Amino acid sequence: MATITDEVGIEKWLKEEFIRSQLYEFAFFSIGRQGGRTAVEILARALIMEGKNIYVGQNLTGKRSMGTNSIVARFGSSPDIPATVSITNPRGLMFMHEALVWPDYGAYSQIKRAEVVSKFQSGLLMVCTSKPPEEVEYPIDFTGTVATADAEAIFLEKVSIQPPPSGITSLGLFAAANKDLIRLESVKQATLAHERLSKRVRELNVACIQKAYETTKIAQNIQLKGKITLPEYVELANRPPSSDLITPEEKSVSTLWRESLPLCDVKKCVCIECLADYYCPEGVISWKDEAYHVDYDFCKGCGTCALECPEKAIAMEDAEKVMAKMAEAQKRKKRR
Amino acid sequence: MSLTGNEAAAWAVRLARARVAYSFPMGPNAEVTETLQGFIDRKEVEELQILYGDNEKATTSMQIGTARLGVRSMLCINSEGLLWATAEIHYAASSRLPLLLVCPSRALEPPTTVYCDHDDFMSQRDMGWLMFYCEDSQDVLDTILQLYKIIEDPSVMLPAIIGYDGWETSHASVKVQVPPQEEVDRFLPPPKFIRPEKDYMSVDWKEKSSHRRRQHGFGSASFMELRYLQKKAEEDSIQKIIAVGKEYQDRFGSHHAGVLETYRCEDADIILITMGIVYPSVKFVANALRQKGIKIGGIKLRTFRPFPGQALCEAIQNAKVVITLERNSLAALFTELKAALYSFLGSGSKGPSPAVMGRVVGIGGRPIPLEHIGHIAAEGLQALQNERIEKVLDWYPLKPIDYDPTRDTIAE
Repeated sequence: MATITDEVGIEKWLKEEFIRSQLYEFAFFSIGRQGGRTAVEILARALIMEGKNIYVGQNLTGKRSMGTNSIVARFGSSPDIPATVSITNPRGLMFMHEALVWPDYGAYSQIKRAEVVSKFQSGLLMVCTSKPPEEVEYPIDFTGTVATADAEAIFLEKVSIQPPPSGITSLGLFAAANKDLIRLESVKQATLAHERLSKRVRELNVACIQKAYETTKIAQNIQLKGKITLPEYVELANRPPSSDLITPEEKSVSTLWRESLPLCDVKKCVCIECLADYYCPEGVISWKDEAYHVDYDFCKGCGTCALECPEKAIAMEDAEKVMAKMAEAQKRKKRR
Repeated sequence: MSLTGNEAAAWAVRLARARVAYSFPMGPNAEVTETLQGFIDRKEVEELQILYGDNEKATTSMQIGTARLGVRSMLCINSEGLLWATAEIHYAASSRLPLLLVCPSRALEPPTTVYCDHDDFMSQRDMGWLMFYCEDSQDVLDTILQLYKIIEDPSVMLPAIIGYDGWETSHASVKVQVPPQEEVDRFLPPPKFIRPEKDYMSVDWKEKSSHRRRQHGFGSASFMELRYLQKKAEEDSIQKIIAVGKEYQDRFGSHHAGVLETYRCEDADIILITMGIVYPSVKFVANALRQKGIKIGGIKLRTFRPFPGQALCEAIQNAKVVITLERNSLAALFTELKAALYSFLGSGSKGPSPAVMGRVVGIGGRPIPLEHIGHIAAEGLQALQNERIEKVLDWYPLKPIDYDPTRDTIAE
């Protein structure tokens, strides 16, 4: 059985070939509903407009539909662009959400974000955050160029949607940090030509791209002190999830699962048969013998019960609060 | 424009003016019919219908029925779907009907995965279909247009599978030149592959409903002859593949034509042979190693059935070591190449035969980074220098796991 050997010669030679053939590789990480994939598609078209050839490979990462997205874009002037989803020599990483520098607990996926981060301690680090470059949170030590723009805030200024689809806005940050590789004008033109978006949305995004480009802060040759060491980060990334249920600690930033949970004011109940019980898609509500019960282990926080109750007895409250309340109630029951 | 592999397949089906697209949706093939539906909704195509069957076997049967009417169609299934439809797949080839099957490859379960390897494609290699594998979206578009012309030719009249890597090609955007509809119409005329002896639509109801009344019928009395003619047509279709490829290349300028492509093989000592998406990476690695003075080249096999033994052996005859990079657990390329080499050498060619090594990569969707291709090339170099092959057939990379079939189950 062949084992993986580390041939220093091959790695070095390939890096030299990247430089010789002027091939550039970038990885983009976004959370669900941000429009990360659309953004990279637009970037691809902008580069094609400038005469480049490009390969865009993607993965939806995370086994429990956490919605995060890892995308590789590789481009250059040569007609032969290596077409692999493996990210081996990135010039830069783009984090469309700052929490993505940390691992989440995805199962088998082709692009392993934590692995890419663990191998990236120099280069161009682009993060969508309100923090200036010097204060960017990176888990391990990093030396290089850091560029930031608050893509989410820029988008929210125009339209208030949660989570804000700020993926395309982040292209302004990309263009500002890579002026030698792509012109802002091409990115804007590609956005205006993107048939999947309505005219209004395209123009909105072009304005956001412009704002992001203008407000990007770039700091070259700076050092970021990592929060933990590299071995600690690798250990964190390889830790398996504690169970099949999504716990608050292991929830990905893009999961809107269980953000809020239902609480029922039973004084308002008048129905012969609980309609919330009837409509709950997970079947976690039961109303038996004058007792209303929710199985919070399986409630996904969809809010259908609150919507359907004709007496408006159920309210959706912040999940942390509700679980704390339930824990309190359990303790009191035990004490009696 | 930039298109993913699935979008390119949809564009090719649109340009070929296929009248019906069949599918059983299974990731990563859904976007082919999704894109076609987009064309229909925006009224960009006339006369295209999309039909879904209850399962892949039913869907393939529906396509066979359509082909009997002389209608150009497409079928999009993959992974276990191909296994499910295998009986019909065999039936289609033996019925000598031109069907097109678009297969964005996905590994066969278990263990559970959605990612890509070529096992589903390779599992059908004995079914009598023509088989092509594509490296990127441009290749997919070009190959589909060529295939319709090839399979509908009276000297071929066999179904064809076109495969490409699921997700890594099917969902990856690259630059694609889409030829204009008028040009394609000139290249690919409307289908005329069913020419019955008489007009069966204008006969009385007894004759119309009789199942014996169809074209000049050949039955089991001619079984062996028909099977022979089928296999012969499959072998001889190489001529048509090359001819149509040349015509396509002259008309549209694309290099995605013919049975194989070579890269820097003229003076190569080591040649890496592959199919599909690994090829651009092989070219990159070859460039990197050539800079260091290593004489290495790459070959992409476009056609797997009929296996272009002659062309492949001619391309590698001067190399010393040939390594096949396979993305299927059957090591099919390795086996078929050795068989072809045996006949090639037996026919009196000069010189020693190249040593053949097989390397199975990327199974179950494991990505194939450039470094691994470099390591495999280094193994070939070592074999060259030591004049000995350490491992003739091997899988790369493998990590040690503690698996006991009596104790452990295979699941996710």
